[in-house]
Amino acid sequence: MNLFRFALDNLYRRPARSGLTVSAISLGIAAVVALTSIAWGFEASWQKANDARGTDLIVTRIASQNSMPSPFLAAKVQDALGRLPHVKEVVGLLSEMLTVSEEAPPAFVFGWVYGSYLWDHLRLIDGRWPADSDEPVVMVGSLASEILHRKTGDQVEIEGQVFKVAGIFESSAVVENGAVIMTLNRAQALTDKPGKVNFLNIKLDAGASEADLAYIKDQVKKTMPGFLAITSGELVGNNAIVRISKAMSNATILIATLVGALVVFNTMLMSINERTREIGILLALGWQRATIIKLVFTEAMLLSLLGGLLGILLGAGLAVGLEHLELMRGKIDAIFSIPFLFAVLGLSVLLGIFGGLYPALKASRLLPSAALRHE
Amino acid sequence: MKRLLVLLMCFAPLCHAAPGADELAGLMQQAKSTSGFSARMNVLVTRPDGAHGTPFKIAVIGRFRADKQQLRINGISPDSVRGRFFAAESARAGEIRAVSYRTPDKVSGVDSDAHLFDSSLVLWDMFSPWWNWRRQALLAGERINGRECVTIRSSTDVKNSTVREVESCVDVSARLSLRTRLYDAHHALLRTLVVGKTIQKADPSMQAAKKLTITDAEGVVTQVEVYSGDEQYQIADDAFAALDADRDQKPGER
Amino acid sequence: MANNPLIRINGITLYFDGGQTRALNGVDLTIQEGEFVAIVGASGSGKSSLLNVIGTLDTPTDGEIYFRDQAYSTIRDASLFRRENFGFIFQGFHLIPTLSALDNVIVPTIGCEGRGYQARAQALLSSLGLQDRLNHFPGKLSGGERQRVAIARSLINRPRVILADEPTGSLDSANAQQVLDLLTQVVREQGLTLIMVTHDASVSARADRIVHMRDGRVEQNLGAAA
Repeated sequence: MNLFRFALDNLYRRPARSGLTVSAISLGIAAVVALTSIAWGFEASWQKANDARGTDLIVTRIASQNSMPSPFLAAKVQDALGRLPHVKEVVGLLSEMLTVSEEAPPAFVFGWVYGSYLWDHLRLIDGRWPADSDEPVVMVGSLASEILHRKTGDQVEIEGQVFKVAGIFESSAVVENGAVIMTLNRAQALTDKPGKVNFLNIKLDAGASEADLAYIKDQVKKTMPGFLAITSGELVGNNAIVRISKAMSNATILIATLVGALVVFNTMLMSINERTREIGILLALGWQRATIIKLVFTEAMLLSLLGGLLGILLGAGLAVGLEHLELMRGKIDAIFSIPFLFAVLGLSVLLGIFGGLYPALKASRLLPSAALRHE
Repeated sequence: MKRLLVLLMCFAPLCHAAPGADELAGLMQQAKSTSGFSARMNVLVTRPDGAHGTPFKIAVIGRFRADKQQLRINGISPDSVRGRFFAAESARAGEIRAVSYRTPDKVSGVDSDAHLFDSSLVLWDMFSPWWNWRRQALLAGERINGRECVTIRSSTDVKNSTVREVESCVDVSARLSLRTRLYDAHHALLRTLVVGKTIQKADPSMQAAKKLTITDAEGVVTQVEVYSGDEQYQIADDAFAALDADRDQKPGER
Repeated sequence: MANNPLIRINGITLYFDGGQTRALNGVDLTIQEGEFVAIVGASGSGKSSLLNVIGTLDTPTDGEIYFRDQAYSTIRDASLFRRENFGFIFQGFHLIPTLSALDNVIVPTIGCEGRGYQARAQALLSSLGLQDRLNHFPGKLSGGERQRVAIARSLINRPRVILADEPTGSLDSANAQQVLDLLTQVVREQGLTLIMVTHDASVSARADRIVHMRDGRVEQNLGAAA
């Protein structure tokens, strides 16, 4: 018999209440886990797309709050960028969210410069690549192929134009797997944006250092007004959807912490009020006040940790379930890192601390004689 | 006395900040100006009996200069609208001349009040010529979809204009009319245009409509959603050639 | 025994409810080491209050108590002092219903340094005739058995004094006699001091001394040591 077993026993004595408390905490934690893993996954997936492409820097117009920076004429800055030190390749990219099939939600349609390094990281699983920069064909990502029900040789209609599916590809980034890719020329013609791109992707040579990167960023800032050179991480961090999803996950963490702490607080306060006499007896039997605090704290911790563990399982299940939902396919790539899961457990511990603090102090301050008289 | 002065000084900037009716109309007219824009939109028409038409996509491109304003509408999809074009221009005098065509050599004139693609989209509305009318009056402020706006009434006596009076509730800082009501000469309501979602323009203080609902007198509801846009669209040289072709064919006709 | 005072109570007064109720009104009493003192009196006479004050569960409003030579007012850690010196037995047993008899006996040692409590608890329960009831829960024990568990619990921390508040009050006379026999036997064997609140004349008759309380005062102090 020790403090831990005694605390466990106290929770076991009121199974319904302990169960409800654990459920409430686990729901809160589940929401935190699901939303945060999705928000992070979303960010990481974009970053992965840029990293996989081998892009070191992205030049774009200083963005408004639109999720995609508005298109600009590539020629305006492309040459100047190409002359900067260590710049190996400058490649334009046009990206739009368009309806590709009436039965499926809009998908990303990317236009990439034919023959540029952007294509290198894609793996062809079926069919062939576009034959030249003007061939009216599209490449369909493995996931998009499933969602759009299109395979090599099929046709897709995008913005009123019919394209043949030349092949199916796979990428390490889920964003690309869910996308349709065509040559930049085709994408510009399709969306009536001749010569325009959303992003210029820069690949540096192997000799480029962090300082060179900083120098290029600085040069863009100084010599190309209205433009911004950022790393893929910074770009993704600026993305409105990423920002919103992160803000939502942060808000959820805050609300879940508050609600969780309140639930623990309420449960522990009720529990010690019911056990006033028992606490008086424990004090009479020689328990130290510190031991009473430890007991109440241990109970609060057990509740919140158990809730946390269940919540992690539930949240992970929720995120994985959402990932496989037809509407969400290809848009979610939830990420569960070990440090994150430990952080969530830490959050549950925090709930226990916040929720258990006052009840524990209150219990320890009971006058033993008054507690013994308590009915 | 000193206190009164301070009080007056506090109010002075407020009075100054609220523009008068003519000034506001001028600002709205100014906000329209662009050397080229393009917007692609989804359009869904719902009949009064609740039946939906087939959703369709169009692109609107245009340039608005002080002396000349031009618009072109391209049908994108499905087949029923694909390859159908409308072009229109309005010169300083305010008259709007419009044509429709499938190929630039077979142009026919259309009424600028005509409804496009069986929806409540009307070319005349897209020019919002009322900001140039001489009579502008400020009415009370309102809230639309939780946003403050100032109602301004524009009216004209021009005989050949179907719309004689327009009431716009303008979010002054965004330079955007959140709700626009168009009336005929007998003050019968012709159409109401209500802005749903908005997006920021390149000038971050200004906004454009992303979602718009048009309800006409017969109860036809047209929902428009912009899904792609370019504020610095490069208008091709021959973008409005059809208008010239029309002028050449039928000189003198509006 | 006669000249070995363990507890000296000097003119203590105790008020409850923020001074509204006076429970003790100038009590003077000396208790010798190894003595069995019965405190009797009508309900509300201050018997239990006196027990609580002796056991440091309540702090007197006025007056002083000495344990050997230590004044209660100078005790810094009351719970430690309580654990080292006092064992409590209550009328209603106050066992924890979800713990076995053995675990109930061990509960007071939670949070204490040291080992071997398990074996000591077993030995105590066995010495009280409960060797077959170690893993029974309170609900499966008779009233007498429950109070024997409570006695074992009061002894687990090797106290010097047992404070018993109506320990036989909830028992029938046969069980009451048995519990009392065991309690007095253990107390005598270990040389402990026993202070017992009771209203049962047959119980108080066994005491070395009977202290009669009335209206918060000691009315009569009878017995061998008086």
